Parts: sequence; structure tokens; C-alpha cells
Amino acid sequence: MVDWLAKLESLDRRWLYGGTVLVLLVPFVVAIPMPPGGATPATQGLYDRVESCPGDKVVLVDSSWDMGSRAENQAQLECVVRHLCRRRVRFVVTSVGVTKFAPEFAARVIEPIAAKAGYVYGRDWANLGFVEARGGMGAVVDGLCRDLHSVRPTDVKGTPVGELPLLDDVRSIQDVHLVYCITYAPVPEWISFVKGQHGTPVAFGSMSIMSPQYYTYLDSGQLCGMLAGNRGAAEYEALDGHPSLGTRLIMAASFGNCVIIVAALLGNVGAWAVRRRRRAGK
Amino acid sequence: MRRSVVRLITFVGGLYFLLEFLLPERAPAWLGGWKNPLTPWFGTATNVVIVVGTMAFLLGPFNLTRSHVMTLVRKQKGRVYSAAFLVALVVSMVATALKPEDLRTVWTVVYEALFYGVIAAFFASSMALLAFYLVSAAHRALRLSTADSALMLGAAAIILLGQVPAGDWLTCGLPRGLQLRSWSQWILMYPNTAVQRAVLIGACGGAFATGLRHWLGLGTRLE
Amino acid sequence: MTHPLSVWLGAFVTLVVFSYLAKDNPVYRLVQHAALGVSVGIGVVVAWKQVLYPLWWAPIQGAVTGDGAASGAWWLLALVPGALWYFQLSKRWFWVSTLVSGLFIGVAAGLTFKTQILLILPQVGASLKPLNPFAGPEGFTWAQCGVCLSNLVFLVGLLTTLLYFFFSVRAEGRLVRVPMRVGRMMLMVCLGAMFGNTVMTRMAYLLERLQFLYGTVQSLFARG
Repeated sequence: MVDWLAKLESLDRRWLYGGTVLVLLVPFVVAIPMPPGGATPATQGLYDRVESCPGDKVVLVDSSWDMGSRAENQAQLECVVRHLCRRRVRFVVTSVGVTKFAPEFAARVIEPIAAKAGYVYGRDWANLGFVEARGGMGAVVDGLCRDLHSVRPTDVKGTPVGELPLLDDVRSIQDVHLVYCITYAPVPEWISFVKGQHGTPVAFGSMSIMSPQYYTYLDSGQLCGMLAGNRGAAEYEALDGHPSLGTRLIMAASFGNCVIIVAALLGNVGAWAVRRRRRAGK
Repeated sequence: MRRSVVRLITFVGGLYFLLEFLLPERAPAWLGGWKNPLTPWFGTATNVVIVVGTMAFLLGPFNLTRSHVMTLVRKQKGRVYSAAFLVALVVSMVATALKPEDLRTVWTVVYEALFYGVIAAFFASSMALLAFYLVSAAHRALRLSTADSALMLGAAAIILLGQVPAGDWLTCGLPRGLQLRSWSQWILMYPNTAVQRAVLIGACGGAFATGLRHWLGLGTRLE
Repeated sequence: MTHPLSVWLGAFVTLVVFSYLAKDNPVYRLVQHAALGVSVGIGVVVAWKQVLYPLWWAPIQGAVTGDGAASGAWWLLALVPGALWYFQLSKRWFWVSTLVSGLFIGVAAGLTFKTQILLILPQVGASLKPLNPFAGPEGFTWAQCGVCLSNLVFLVGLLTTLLYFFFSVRAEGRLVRVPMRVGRMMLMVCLGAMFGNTVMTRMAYLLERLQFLYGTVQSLFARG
């Protein structure tokens, strides 16, 4: 028995890889119902802020993610945009710094949702495209807060912002009800300048790996809400009554997390068996 | 002389934004009530920073292209890959430049194939490889050998199960305060926040010191 | 609507990348170089179209043709610092590029003070949490007691972590050794939380790709 268990310590990694893929495919093939679970205060905070948006203000969505963080950021963008459309809240999309591919991914996600909700581009929503922040993220964020038209004189298609009716009402951060920044790891400049200097609430949508460091901002009230990975997106979808991509992926993540725990257990059991065998051999 | 000029430019570059922040929006009445003279120029300064920063956008592509062209010209090993890079570079630039915004043409199809079919798939799949390495590392390296490692792995297990429906299912019969998701939230909101805040406070001091060093050019070599 | 070419090419590239798990191979390298070329090419055009053209070239063009403000011509001067970046390519004239990189280091340093001040002061204020379970509006309740205990854990964690990390004192004497040990334990819990979240993200990457591949296979059978 101990000899057999000792083999677990040196298990060929190809078995591990193959087993991982097989286990992770199960939730896609077989629908396994699991309890949905409630929303955390971080998710509830963002949801409540969107719900409270008045008609004369907009939400600024900074969608700065690409294929490197699509796995979690896409669901975070989808669920909030769907909520904005349901509440008939107008929104402006930017992609500040980070990655030049972000506007394309944002448009890909938002256009079908907006079209289905009957939103008209230029009147109900606008995509202002990529803003380079290589020189100083703080300067660009502060510049956007003071004069949006100056920093982004055209939208992603090259149309002057003066020709977009929505942007007539949106000139500075005073016209914005909430800034929602979705990227791999949102930078603290959003908090310093948007919330700290101008007092406008900020929420983040970040990858799970980076989310632990943002809880300190949630605790101090500098962030009004946060979606942490697909879990956050799934909770938001549950609050909005529209389970979608986030819910599907978090259900599948159950299996993924169990794979890691089982792999660690197998390794520890194998190591224990090897030590036991070594001691018995002595 | 060169170093002094660079230090002066560095100082002036930082001085504008620092003064614009430190000077009040409007001086008190007994000082004349003047407005901050730097604020009206903030938009222009921001745009100058954006434009001049973006003008370096050809540096990286130029270096890469030069390196791969030399590989081809010198017929070195790996020239097939260099040729693939150069062809992909040219085709993607042409497709991105020529694709119209509101129509679907053949350039749109080429652009989408390159964007979604090549780079989106490649970089996303490269990140996905990390999951396999993580499983392998969990099997080989995560050992419960000390009290510290037990504490770490215990916290990790609570977080892992507490944030997915499997954890909700496992503990759904328990009172709310004893469920895995409550424990994972408590770990994130209290011990984790305490440590992250301590690190942030320390890092802030370091950022201040480093920023001051760079701004005043103390002990830095730019050449 | 995504063209089928994008979907099939994406599935092919995904499988090629996964083949790296078995062994580094020529097809993977070819796809890797092609992907790099595409990302660089698209990045160059996007930088021009979405940043330089509207912010720099269009105002100059407007000033020259008379369609825009005459002050747009001043943007021509931006070519001077902008061109300095390219002196990095010369060994002899490399020092010229330090003029513009020095400018940006100064800008970043100047912004750092503002960023950090606005970030940290609320953090310090929020660290003062209530510890008295009797001081709530309803007097003593078990919920309030739980919150105060958690606040105590928070405060102890904050102070001991600061002690462990930043105050480089020798761990001599129980007065220092015990708090440092507590700080270390807190760090372990935090690292465990970070590791758990790391696993969530890594698994999400793989799940997204598997979902894509499964969807592609499904569409193949649906069509068939």
C-alpha cells in the first residue's frame, strides 16, 4: 500500500495535464446545478451605485483589457453593460493606457448588448478608444477628469466628439456618476484623482489574482465596489437576474479549484509515503 | 554639463505637476485672490505628455524589424520564423490601416482573422498554459511541512472553496457565519486587508523617497 | 458576426500553443513569431489612428488648411522632443535620448507625490477602527462584539506586519519576537489568500480556452 502511494509523488505530469483537461470539460458537457450563493458587499456596492445613477449623468467605463485578461474581464464588462442598458443609463467607454487592443475587445462585447437594448451609438453610448498613458497615468486620468474633450477629441472611429450628442452633456468628471475600470490590475491613479481629488465614486473590475490588494481600498471607502474575477461577475449577474458567462465560468471553476486541491493532496500523500518507506528501509 | 542639463529638464518636468497640485485653485483674498496660473495649461500639458510619449511607438517595432531583417539577409538559423514575423507585420499593418470602420470588406475579414484568430488565441492560450504548470507545481511543490506552510495552505484552501459554488454546496447546511464563503470573505476583509494596507503604507514611503530622488536627480545616472 | 476563418484559425492556434506542453516544436515557433508580428503591426497603426492623428496631426493639418485653429501649428514643435527618443538607436548619440526620458521621469516623479498623498491619507484614517463592543448605537450586541474582535485582528495584523516588514529591528527578546511571529503568521494567511486567487485566475484562463474549443467543436457538429 505504501509503495503504491509512493508512486503518487512521482506521477507523470502528462497524467496530471490530461486529467485536468478531462475534469474541466465535464461542466461544459454536463449541466450540474449548484447553489448560486449571495453577493459579497463589494459586488453589492457596485450594483447599488449603478442602480442609483440619475438620468442626467453617465457612467464612464474604462475597459482596458485584452486577450491576456479576457478570461475574467469579459464577463465583468458584459454584466455591468447589460445592467446599464436595462436601467437606460448612458455610458462612455474609454481604454486608458495598458493595451492598444482594448477598444476592439470592448466594442465586440458592448455592440451586441447595446443593439439588443435599442441603444443608439452616439446618443446613448460612445466608445472613445485608446488613450496613451505612457508618459504619466496620473496626468492622463486627471486630464480626462478636467476636460474629456481635450484628451479625447475623437471617438474610436475618428468621429469628432462634437458630433456625438451624448458628449454634449459629458465634458468633465462632474457629469459622471461612476467610473468603472476593468483591466488586469486597475491602477491606483483612478482612486487618487477621480475619487481623491474630484470625489466621484470609482469601482474596479480586476482579475482574481490582483483583487486581494484592492480590499484595502474597499475598506477605506475609496472604492465603492469591486468585481473580483468571474466570481464577482457571477454574483453581479445573479443580482441583475441574468446568469450568463460569469455564472458558467464560475461553475466550471469549482472543478478547477478541486483539481488543484486534489493535486496538492496527491503530492503530499505521495511525499508522506516516500518518507515512510525511507524510514522503514533504514 | 550633459548631466546637469538632464537633471534640469527632469526637475522642470516634475515641477509643473507638483506646483499645479500644491498651489491652491484660488489664493485667499488678502493675497490678491489670484487664480492658479498653472491650471489653465493642464490640458495642454497632458496632451503634450501623451503625444510626445506616443511618438516613441516606432522604437520597438523598428528594433524587432531590424533584427529579423538581418537574420534573413545573413541567412542565419531561424530565418523562416523571421520571415513569418515580417510577413505578419506587413499584412496586419495593411489590414488595420485599410479596413473601413462601418463596412465589411475583405480587409475586415483579414483583420478579424489576424486579431481574433491569431493574437487573441495565441496570447490567451499562452496564459492558459499557466494552469497546467500550476497543477504540476501544486503536485510537486506544495508541501505541508511546517506550521507556516499549513497556515498558508489552509487559508488558500478556504479561499479556493469559498469563492466557488462547490464551497457553497459543501457547507450550505451550516449557519451562514460558518459557511466557507463567510470564512473566505472574513480572511479577505480582515487579515488580508491588514497586511495589504501595511505593505501599501510602506510602499508609499518608498515611492516618495524614490520620486524625490529622481526628481532632484540625486544619485541617478541617465547616461 | 465572426467569420468562420477567425474561429477555425483560433482553434488551430490554440491547439498549436497547447502542443508546447508536449515539446517545443517548429509549428509553435512559427505561430509565435507570426503572433508577435501581428501584435506589433496592429499596435503601430492603432497608436497612429487613435492617438497621434487626432491629438497631433489633425490640429497641424487644420492650422495649415485653415479648417482649424491657427494655434494648432504649434504642435509641430512636439516633433523635437518626440524625435529625441530615436537617438536610443545610436551608441554615440544615446545621451541625447536621456533628455526626453529625463523629462518623463520628472513628470512621473511630480505626479507620484500627488498620487501617493491622495491615496494614503484616507488609508491611515480608515485604520482607526472601533474596538469597544459597548459603544454601538444599541449597546452591546454579539454582532457588534464580533465586529470589534475582527477589528482587533485587523489592527494587530496591521501593526505586526509593519513591524515585521519595515522596522528592521533584531528579533531579540519576547517583546519583539512575539509580535514579529504574529506578523509572520498574518503574512502567511495573506499569502495563502493571494495564492488561492492566483489559482482562480490561472484556471479561468484555461476554462476560457476550453470553452472556446468546445464551442468550436459544437458548431462543427451543428453544421454537420
